[in-house]
Amino acid sequence: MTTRERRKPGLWVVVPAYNEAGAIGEVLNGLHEYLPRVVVVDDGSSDRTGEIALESGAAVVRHAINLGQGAALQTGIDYALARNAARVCTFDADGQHDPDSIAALYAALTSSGADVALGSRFLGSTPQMPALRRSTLRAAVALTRLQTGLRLTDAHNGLRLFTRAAAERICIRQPGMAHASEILAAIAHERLHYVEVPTRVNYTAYSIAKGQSVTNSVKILFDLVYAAWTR
Amino acid sequence: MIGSILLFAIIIFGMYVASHRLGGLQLLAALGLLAVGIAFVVWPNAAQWVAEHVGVGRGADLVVYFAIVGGLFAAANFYFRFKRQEQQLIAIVRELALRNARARH
Repeated sequence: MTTRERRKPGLWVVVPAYNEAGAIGEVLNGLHEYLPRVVVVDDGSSDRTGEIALESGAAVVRHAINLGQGAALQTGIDYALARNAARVCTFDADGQHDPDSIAALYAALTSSGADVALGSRFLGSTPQMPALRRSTLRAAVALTRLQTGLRLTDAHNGLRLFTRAAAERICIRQPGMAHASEILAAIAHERLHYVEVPTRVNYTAYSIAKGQSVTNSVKILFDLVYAAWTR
Repeated sequence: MIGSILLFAIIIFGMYVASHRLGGLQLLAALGLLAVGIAFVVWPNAAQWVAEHVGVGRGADLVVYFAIVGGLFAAANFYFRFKRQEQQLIAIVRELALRNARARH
């Protein structure tokens, strides 16, 4: 057991990954202090994502088919909760998050007594964010405020930390990318206390290529309208 | 000529529907559609008569309007069914994944 582990008892890190063979090894290397309580959800990858994650010392849960990031997150959260996780962190597999941010989220969660800590790239430093990405994310923030009443600075950051109680109350039904807003809607609906924590997002050529296209935000919007309608 | 072709198509459609188990409302809708279809083929003036009484100029236009609305209902029905099945599929895949979880330690 490493020192960090002792200081963060029961912390599980959930990493949803789809065809991330090129990045997952390095990402898990960065998360080594949290191993073996890191679970990679291999979302039906056709490359060696799962094998590399296993070799890197993480637990691996594999979807037989690709379901989408929302479904992968929920599977990982279920896995962590079944292993008595006291806290669950969600972390992207493409290398855009800084492993040190987990400690910052953890500290913010414990000191504030909140249920959820959310990473925000707009509070933190985010070098090389493409302009179009920035304006799309700003629009998402405005929409989130309309939809949930949450006054956040960043609505689509994959880095989050939940207490066990909060993780148990969040049920992601949107398999695709609309889950980010769905999680926030659940936070608002369940009246969970949250803190935003400045985090750094690294926009590398790899993470930009792997990330959301701006046109996909239209699809996310549609999924959300559908979810609101059928809730 | 066109009348017999349409009647034949409607009968095939009816047999196709009958070969599948449909629940209450769907069966009712299918039977209603069949009846209206047959009536309009047998009495072409019936469509015209209904059209005039609801303020549509031609019987053919009336049929098109109803076909569009019917098509939209069918599309929505398929969409919601797809979404339900998607959730069931996710549940199965998740269950399978969690059962086969692997770890070196």
